Amino acid sequence: MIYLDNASTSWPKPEPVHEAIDFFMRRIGANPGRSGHSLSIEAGRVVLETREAVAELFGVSSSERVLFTQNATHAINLALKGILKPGDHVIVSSMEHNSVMRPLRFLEETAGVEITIVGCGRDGTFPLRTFEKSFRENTRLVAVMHASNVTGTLMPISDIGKTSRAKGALFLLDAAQTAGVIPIRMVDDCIDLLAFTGHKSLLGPQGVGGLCIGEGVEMTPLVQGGTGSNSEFETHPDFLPDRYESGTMNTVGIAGLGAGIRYLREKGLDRIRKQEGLFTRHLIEGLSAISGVHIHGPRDPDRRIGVVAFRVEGIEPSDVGYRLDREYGIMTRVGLQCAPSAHKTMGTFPEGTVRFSVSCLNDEDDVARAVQAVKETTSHFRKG
Amino acid sequence: MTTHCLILFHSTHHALKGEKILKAAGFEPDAIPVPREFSANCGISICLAWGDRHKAEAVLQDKSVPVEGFHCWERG
Repeated sequence: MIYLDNASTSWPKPEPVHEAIDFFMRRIGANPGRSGHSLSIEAGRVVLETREAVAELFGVSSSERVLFTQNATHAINLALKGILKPGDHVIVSSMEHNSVMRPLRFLEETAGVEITIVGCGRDGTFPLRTFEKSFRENTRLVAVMHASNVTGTLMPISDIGKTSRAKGALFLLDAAQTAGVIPIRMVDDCIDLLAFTGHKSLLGPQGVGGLCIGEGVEMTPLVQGGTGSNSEFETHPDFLPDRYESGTMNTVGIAGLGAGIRYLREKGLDRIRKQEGLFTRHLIEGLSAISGVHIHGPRDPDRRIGVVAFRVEGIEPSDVGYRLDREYGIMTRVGLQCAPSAHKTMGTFPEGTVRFSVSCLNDEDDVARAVQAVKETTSHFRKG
Repeated sequence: MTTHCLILFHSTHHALKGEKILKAAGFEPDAIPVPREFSANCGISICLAWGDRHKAEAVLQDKSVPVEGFHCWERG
């Protein structure tokens, strides 16, 4: 079996992630911050270690500014709904995932938030000049993904961050596809809010993600409730991180995420990027050589991440994906990948594409077999 | 009864961060539930030797760990 659906969720996970989860479940298990007993304190230490690992990885000014959420979607909702007020204007790219588009459309309808969608090129390239001209008096926020989950295209986040800061708007970066592969420095790149998920390239389990917030960023909490602090009051605490973390958190997931980040640190982000870049290059070269296969996104692997979407002329993506799964045991994602706006930009709406996405736990053989399988699948349908 | 320094914090995050920083600085902090006679925002406090209080305060200040207060505690 070959798993090439890592942009949905990475699999398998490194052994230390399994061990950390198992250790937490068997040996710790308690609720952090809710009691003063040894196991609760130990659970709190697990959360602290992961929070600090995240802060170090993204260059967050202080670990209390790392807020744990269920996933990137939850983090993005917290940011958008916590910051945008009626009459505010927000700028996004046309490649955004529904995790950004849907809460924004909700805010447009319910709070009169104004949205400008900056149209990207068909390969996902972000148009900086058009972007610069999109600011208005009431532009409060810019929300852009670091890399497209469909074309893999990397966005010029440093330029976007600097422009946003110069224009007085906050910059929210959706790093769902890049955290753990591409270095991100919050302060250097002028990122005010960074949403990440733990279960993709950070190699943790599903159900944990987070929002890192820069100095001076103020948001209304999305949820109020028990925090284990200020328990004598019925009003919500105003200090970090408790202000944004109500209810029992996914501590076992956080334990796994911490192990995932330590694994990445030992392996080195540069090495992972090189390795995934090589897989990407070979996928692009191999698939391009097959007649009737069209690849989306930039050709240059340095301008993209390890996500390769393609279409086979005259064959439905769902048919290709089904055959790759059943005949070859190759797991892909077909369709719109939760990004209808991206597919409209690419000209692949509503059919979508077949998407291969690699992780640092794939190998060259996986890539070679995937290319061969597409070749055989293509001729199978042609003959049929 | 021995006199100890009890450090109270707003959040568990800061209590455990404080513990980690103090340990790394060579102190022997004990993370314990906040004793009944004190009222704190979060349930975990750090107990230290009374003589370490000034140095500990300087370390926590240097590392920007917000503290709710330093107290004298007679531990049985």
